[in-house]
Amino acid sequence: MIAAVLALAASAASPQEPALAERPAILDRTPDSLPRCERDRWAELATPDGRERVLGSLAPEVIERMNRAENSYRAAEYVTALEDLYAALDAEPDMPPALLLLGTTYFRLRRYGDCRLSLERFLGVSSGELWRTQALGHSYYSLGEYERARDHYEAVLAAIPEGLSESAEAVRGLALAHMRMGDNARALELLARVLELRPDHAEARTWRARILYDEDELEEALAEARRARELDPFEPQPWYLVMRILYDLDREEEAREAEAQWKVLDRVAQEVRSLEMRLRFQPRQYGLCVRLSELYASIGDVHATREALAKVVLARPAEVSEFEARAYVLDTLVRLEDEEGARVAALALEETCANVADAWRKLELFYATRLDRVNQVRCGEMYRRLGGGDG
Amino acid sequence: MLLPLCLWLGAQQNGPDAAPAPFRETGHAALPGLATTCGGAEKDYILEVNGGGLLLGDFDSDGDADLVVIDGSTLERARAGEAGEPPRLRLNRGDGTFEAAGEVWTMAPGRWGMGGAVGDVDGDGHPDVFVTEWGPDRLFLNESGSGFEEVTETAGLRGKRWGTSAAFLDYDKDGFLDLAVVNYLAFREEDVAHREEGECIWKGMPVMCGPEGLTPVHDQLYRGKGDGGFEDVSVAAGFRPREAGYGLGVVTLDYDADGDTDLYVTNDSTANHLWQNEGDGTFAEVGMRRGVDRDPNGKEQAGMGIAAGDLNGDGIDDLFVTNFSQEANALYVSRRRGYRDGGDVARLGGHSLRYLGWGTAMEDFDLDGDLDLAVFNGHVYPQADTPGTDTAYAQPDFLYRNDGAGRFAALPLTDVGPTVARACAAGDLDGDGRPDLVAIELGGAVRVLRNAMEAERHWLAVELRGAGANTFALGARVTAEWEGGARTAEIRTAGGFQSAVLPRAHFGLGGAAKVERLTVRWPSGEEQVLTDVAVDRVLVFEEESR
Repeated sequence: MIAAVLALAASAASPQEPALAERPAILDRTPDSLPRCERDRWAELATPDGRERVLGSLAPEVIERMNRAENSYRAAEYVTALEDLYAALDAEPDMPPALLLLGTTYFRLRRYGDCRLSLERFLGVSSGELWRTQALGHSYYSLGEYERARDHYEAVLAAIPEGLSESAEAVRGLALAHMRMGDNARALELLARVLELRPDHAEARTWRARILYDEDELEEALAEARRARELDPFEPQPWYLVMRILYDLDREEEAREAEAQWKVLDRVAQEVRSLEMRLRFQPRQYGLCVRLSELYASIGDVHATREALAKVVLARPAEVSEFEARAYVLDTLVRLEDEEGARVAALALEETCANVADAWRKLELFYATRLDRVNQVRCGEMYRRLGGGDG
Repeated sequence: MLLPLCLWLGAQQNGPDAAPAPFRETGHAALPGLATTCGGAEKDYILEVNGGGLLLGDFDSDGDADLVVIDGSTLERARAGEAGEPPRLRLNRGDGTFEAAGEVWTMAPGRWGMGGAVGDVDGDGHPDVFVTEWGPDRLFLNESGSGFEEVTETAGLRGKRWGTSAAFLDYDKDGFLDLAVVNYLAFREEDVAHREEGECIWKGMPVMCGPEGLTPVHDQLYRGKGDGGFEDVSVAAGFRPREAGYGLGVVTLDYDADGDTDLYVTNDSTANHLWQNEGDGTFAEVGMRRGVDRDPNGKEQAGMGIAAGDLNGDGIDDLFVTNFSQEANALYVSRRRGYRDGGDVARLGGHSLRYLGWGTAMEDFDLDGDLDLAVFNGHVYPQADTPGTDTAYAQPDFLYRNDGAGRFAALPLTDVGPTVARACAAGDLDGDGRPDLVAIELGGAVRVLRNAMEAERHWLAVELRGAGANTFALGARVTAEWEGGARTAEIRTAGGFQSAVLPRAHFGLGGAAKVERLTVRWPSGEEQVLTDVAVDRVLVFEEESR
């Protein structure tokens, strides 16, 4: 049965896969096609009383669209989110929360130009909310406009309301903009600030290592890259830096070891990037989700595998039974030796497939291998009660 | 009706008060009636997207740059087993305009032409032409400036892979030219999904498949035997990486300044290769060790064009590489141990993210004493015009002008609107001392771009005549020192992506009215020095017989 699930996954990534569904028309819309609001339409949103009044005046369909868009966004169903956001903005031109979410959704889809259009328009009607627009800085940065990115991040950080802490991501963005413009000293300072805010920020450590490497501070760079590697052992970039630095230090044997591991992780990361790009546009591609989980499992990344398996369950097509999908999840986690995850998957299998004899048989065997006699016996009884093993 | 609208749109790009564009398009006047072919407009297969090649050389030995245009074919012809368009020689009239060469210069068509290389294979002082194809590569000997003769078979060049770029060099310093051929991938239409099958997706859209998922093909190294023949020494010379790349571009250079010629190869979507000449007839691939194989975060990029030149004045060529859209073009700057990507600091990285770069050239276009860059852009996917891609199919081309401190300012290269450009080659076409450009528009015209920048600066171009069979002294280094500046340039004909350039070292001198010292290090290692060299001319310098 696992073979059947994997076969489906394989076929989804192979030349035999059916043609891609029609490109959703919403992807051909851009924010500049949206109607404009009347002047000061949203000015009252800046005050608490006004906010209540304005939001209370919205039509129920608009509120419903916004709720759906937020839910879709959270589920990474970005194309669906766009449908609802455009509908909301056609009905209520320039509604700030919709523009903000539109910009963020475009950022997730890596449509940086459209993110920029949305968020610049958001700031046009809601300038007091500047602090919410760090994604605009990310978009400037991703479009290669580093000076604008730097200026925007600085503005975002200066506008953070009292009582809220600095956004580590905005500080990180500011650091990288400085680095791109050649101000490595300032970039290092800012990345240190990111680590004060978030000591487990592996990416900040990696960037520090890269800058130190560029500055020929090899020993310091090596230490920083190794710290990054400890924080995120499945990310190839720290391994790459460790390898490069070790080669430059003529520590050949250690460098070769790092190179071997980097190559494994890099190969996986390349395919993951490609799959995730496709899933952004078509999140319910079961075969791609299965492949994603296999890739993460192949390098032992428990956290990412769990997330990918959650997508597998959500993306399950009609021709794959709930039992098959859940059993695949359980088997993958067992293979990964993720004991905690496997137990959760076993409970989910039990809850969702209580009427499937094979599910109980699978659970009986699962608990047997864990020497959990109580559950083994319980599941075995359920299996036989449902007619399993007859004949 | 259409033309005036295009002109109006073009004029709007710079605005009424903007400075004139640095280059003026003279294609229609300079190269009348010359159009190229590369598959259909929809670009259903990767075979249709790379365009043809441009090879500059003084084929009729009259002192100016002539042009061989390598042309492609269509899928329909390929399916029918018919030949593609032939390579065509256009002879320079001396003023940067070209005329069709006579019958004696005819080159038979191949299967689907790509690019090639120029070098004096038989040592007679006249440049010969090697053509890469999707199909058998071909070699045409220049019969003493009076015509071409195909000698592929007798020369032993039996490459039948999808060749893209090629470079002549003398890697073993025996005086005879050798040849490196860069290959792309194994392509058979029946093995590759059609675009409309939806198997290959870019930004949520079905696009033509490749290169990812297709099989890369190893490059080849041929050793010139001295009798007009070549032998494939790829394996024996170690010119065989552990994993083949999707090869697109090549230049020759002496990156480690040890006196022999190394090779740098760009690969599409796979790591680039730096082939270090070990001095014993073999090569070692050191791209990763020297930091020129991928981006600084360890990600492979889609390396296309290459331009090489000594930007930082350390005597070692730096490398500029054009890449895919949303990948920054790279500027690998030489350092004590290898290279580091300095593209962002030089203001070359971020600006390039929206563009997909192909042909590129590093020359002192404004003759102010430092090297500038020209980059030609154009996407591979017509679908890039769909909303939300942050890029476009037709794209503007840029001159990146060096401010003298190693930072570059981007200027639109011409005042003509965006095109889907591919290969380019730089050279002084009209003899005014300022480097001009030719470029291919995919499936369209060959563009001639006349350098229109300020002319009141001095320059010197140096051509070498080697004493042996390497008549153009490929691999030699020329160092010019003048008041306020100095630079070293290598003699090469490899032009990066599917192109060849004149074997000339060109120096912009700003206001300096003489070159105080000119040092030539010949491929043999011998040095010759000239002092107080007069400028604003092409100096042809002969090697003293050994």
